[in-house]
Amino acid sequence: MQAARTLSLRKLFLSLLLVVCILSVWALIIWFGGESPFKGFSFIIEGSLGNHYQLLSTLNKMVPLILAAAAVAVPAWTGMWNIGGEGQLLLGAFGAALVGFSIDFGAGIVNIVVALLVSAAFGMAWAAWPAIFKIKLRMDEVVTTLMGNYIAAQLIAYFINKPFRDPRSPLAQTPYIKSSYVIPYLFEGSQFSATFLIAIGIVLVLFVFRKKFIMGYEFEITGSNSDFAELSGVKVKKIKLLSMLIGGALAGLAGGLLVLGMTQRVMQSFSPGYGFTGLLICLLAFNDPLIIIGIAFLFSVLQTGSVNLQLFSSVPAEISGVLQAVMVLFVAAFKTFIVGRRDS
Amino acid sequence: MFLGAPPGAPSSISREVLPILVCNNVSKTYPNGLEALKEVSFDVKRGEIHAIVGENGAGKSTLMNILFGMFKPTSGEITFKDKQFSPKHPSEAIGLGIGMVHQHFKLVQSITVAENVVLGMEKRFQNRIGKINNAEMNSSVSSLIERLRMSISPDDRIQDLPISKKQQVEILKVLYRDTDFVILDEPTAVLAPNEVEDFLEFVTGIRDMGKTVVFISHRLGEVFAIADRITILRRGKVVGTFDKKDVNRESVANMMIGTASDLSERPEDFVRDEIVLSVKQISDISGILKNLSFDLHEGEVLGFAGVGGNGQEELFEVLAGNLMLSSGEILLKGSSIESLNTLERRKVGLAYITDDRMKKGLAPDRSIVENSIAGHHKSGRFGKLAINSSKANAFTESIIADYDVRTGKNIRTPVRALSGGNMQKLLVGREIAYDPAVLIASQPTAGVDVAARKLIHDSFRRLSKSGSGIILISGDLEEIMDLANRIIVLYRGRAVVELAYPHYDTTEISYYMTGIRGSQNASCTYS
Amino acid sequence: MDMELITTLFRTSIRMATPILLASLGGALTYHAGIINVAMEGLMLISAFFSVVFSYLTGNALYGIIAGMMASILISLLYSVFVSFLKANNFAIGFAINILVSSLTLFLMRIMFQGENAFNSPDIAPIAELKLITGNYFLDNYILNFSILTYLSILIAFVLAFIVYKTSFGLRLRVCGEMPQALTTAGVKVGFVQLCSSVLCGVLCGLAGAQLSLYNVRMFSREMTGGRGFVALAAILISGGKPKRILIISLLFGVFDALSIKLQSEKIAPQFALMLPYVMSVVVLLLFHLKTRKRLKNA
Repeated sequence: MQAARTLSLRKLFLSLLLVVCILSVWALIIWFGGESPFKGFSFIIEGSLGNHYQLLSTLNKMVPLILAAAAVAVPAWTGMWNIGGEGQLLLGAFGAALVGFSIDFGAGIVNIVVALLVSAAFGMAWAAWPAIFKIKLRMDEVVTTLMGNYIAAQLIAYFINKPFRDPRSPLAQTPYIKSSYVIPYLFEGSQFSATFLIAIGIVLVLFVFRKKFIMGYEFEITGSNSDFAELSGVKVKKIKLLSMLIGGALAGLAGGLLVLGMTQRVMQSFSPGYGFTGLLICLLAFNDPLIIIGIAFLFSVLQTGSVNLQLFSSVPAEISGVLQAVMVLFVAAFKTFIVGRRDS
Repeated sequence: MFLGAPPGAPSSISREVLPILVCNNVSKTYPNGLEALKEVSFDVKRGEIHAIVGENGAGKSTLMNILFGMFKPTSGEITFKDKQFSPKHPSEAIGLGIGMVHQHFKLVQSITVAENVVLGMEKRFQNRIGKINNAEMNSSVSSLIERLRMSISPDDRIQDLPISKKQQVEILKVLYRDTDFVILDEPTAVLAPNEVEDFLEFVTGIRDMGKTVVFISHRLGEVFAIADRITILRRGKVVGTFDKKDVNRESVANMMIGTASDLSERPEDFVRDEIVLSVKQISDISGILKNLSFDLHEGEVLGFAGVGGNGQEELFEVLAGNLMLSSGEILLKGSSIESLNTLERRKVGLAYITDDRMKKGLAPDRSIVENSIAGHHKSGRFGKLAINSSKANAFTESIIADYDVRTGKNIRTPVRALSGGNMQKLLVGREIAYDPAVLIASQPTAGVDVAARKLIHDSFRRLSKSGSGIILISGDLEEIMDLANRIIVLYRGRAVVELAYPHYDTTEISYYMTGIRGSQNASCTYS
Repeated sequence: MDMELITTLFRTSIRMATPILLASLGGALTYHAGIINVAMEGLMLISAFFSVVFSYLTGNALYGIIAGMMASILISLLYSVFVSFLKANNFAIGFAINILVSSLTLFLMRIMFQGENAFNSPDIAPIAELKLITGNYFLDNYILNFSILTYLSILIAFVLAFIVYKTSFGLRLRVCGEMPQALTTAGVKVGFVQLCSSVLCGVLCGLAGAQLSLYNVRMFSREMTGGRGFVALAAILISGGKPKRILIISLLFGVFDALSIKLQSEKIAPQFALMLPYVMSVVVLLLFHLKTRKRLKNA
């Protein structure tokens, strides 16, 4: 008992030390950028949480991050690595746009649901082939999902340049989706739409699934110890495949929500690396859905806040990427000491 | 064909020499609480072949790994070549002249024999720009190969070699360096019976080259063929060190495996006439089990005795559905089950207590509840889609109560917080909760305290009383003799003898377990 | 076909291939040591930035190259510490580094040069070419007059082929990736071997980055590595880390790149050419696994 208490005291101390380290280095970087750290932090906070418009904007920016992180988390529950979120997201976005500019089912709600289902399906398909290769041929899914990102990027670039190009625009992009597909902003003047609610809803469903459902249980024990799962009668291969498919669907959905809720088309540089940021968020969050929401919030604060920082000081907005990366590196460094190395 | 000494020369050292290795009260307790070595004291004389015998779990591997610098002892002192010995890394042990031929080879498949052998020392074949002179390297290894009369070539690729030759490469690795203390860890485990004789000659040859050999084995025929002195380990303690001339195989077998159990526990007879499991002439695809056949009756406890490595693991895996058969059948209540996978076998009434609770029996990072419902989770008793947590908790609590699992705070703590004995009780409770037709239990009380052991044994008795059959695979002969209605001894994948209670004689069984009786191997022809 | 066209294509191919070749050679070393290096993108990018900065400040491309290499080495040391010693997740750290470098270079560019998307200046000294006009068309256009880094990279390919397969360092490197326990039991420290490979990778990616920003173009622009770090990874996977094969594959990829530029002016989509490296890597791995599976089945 005593040992356990000392251990958690130690963990607490290390966690605090970690936070202190991160904040110090952040302060240093802000200072290097030409602003006093205290002011710098306050600009960031003001810019992201200062008034309710900004808060809503910050929340809205979390949407792709949450789902992209979930796209990594769900396969991770079964021990699979999905690094293809970026590509799955792009394909999902394209799927939604495709439906959105070409067909009309009449009712707005039907349109939106169909478009989102299609985006999930496209994303799922893009996660399916690496998953099948892994399960049938034991081909490591990390490399295949990784390469898949760049294949998808070129594929989408081709689509928006040629066959699905908007004839009315000089830029390379898909045609705009029909207005009934658009998920509108909810409050006057704010950049907050129902996509946020959808994303949070999905993550909550995932949370419940993992904790309460029998299949969620199977996911978890497969990832924890697949030999044990096998001996307990879990169909490990099916479970792993399913987790990858769900992961792909989530990333695809992220793309779909971006199209329907924000951009209304797929254009060049559609994703500033949401898939990879999602990977980092997921790892910081230990694959936990609720923590993912928290970390995504933190990332979003840094992102939106840095824009404000740039407005009011000489510090460039690009600092957000640096701050995020520094946080990830420190957490990775401390993880070994906090969680402990597992001697195999 | 002896290398060095002419035939007929005495094979034991008679002059007084200072020991090259002295272990004084060496103990090793692993972080999970397992006491692998308890105040082990013994010494090894220079230039002798010293055999260390014992069953699995006796502590032999732990001891050797400490000598090789892979682990540190929890307490005790070791003196090697008259100096204090506490290496922090194998490289230090290697530097002092210790070499170990591991049971599981650490060879790099894609490179050649010579490259594997000289790895770590290859710089001496480098010219100024760093190019390795293959010819020089190969010839350097060749000369050692010739001296040892091996039949491999330095530029063979490891992946193309059969196992016995791979072992030769492992030995080469050790002898290529200035090793004068060679540890061989169960070296004949990978050899076919006809290869053993040559190998034993070879080991004698190494000794005749002036090196000290520590030879770990449980096969007493081999041990008595070449050893000068024998140290017997049992459950982490040294039973004794003897000159070969002062003991015989039978007495060593007895000391290894122990005398009769205390008579407070003995098998109960709930055996019914109906046969519930029938195994006919099974051989597995890895070639370890050879035409094994047996029947299990309802209410019977059938014990499989033997030292690890003789087919027990394969028997479990075959019954669990993880290892495929190359021939033979398995019938459960008359229907064949060889083609069923584990889940399907569970559904028809089989339950499994695996010997590796940390890796296969439990998920140590997950909570007690999650572990206890494993395997039962799809049975419907906790719900169809969602897990009814109050039912799951109640189920867990009932196992905890029935099996006296000391969980401390609450059932949501991870299983790894439990002691070994409590983990095992949880595992056993979970499996018995299936009310299986047949329970396959492998090493069910390994690393478990006395009270837990008794509890588990009692639960087995209750289970067999209710008509289930139990297959008990165990390296603990006492346990088998306490529970089993019949005992089959496995040696080299075959059933070498079958005994029925009350005709159990530890001594006799230990002879079968160590190959003194019942096996037709060449090693037994040595006197 | 038009001779001019072929010559342009060839020269463009070589130009595009050089950074890929350099980065792939660097990544091949870590590959043999058992690390799939996804941070090559970041290594090249940071080198590209500092090469430009120092070339601008000193007016000398050589100092630029050296500065780029040092920056790249620093980052690769960071990578190695996290992956080899702290045992952090290889991909997480790799992508964190890529994001770090990408943001950091833009951050610095704004602070130092007030550039928003690019930094360009006539004071940036470019990398020298092997300039020689002999009068022979073939010699002048196909052999001579390329960046000196191009010639250096070809030389390095052969040197690495020698190092990896014929020297003791190379032996240890390969064993490190295939079976690190064999190294440990032979008394060699695995972390050290991985560290060495990582530093060398930093050197080579440093050269790659310098080539990008001081020769292919003469500026630094946002995300100018454009995914080349992953093309390099594809090249490594396809060639199994063998330097001479990497030489050929890199050239092939250079051709794809050049073709894609050319195709843009025609009506054919360039993206398929750009996609090829990644598709090829998946196909090669697929074939390899199918073959292995067949072999196991027949065994």
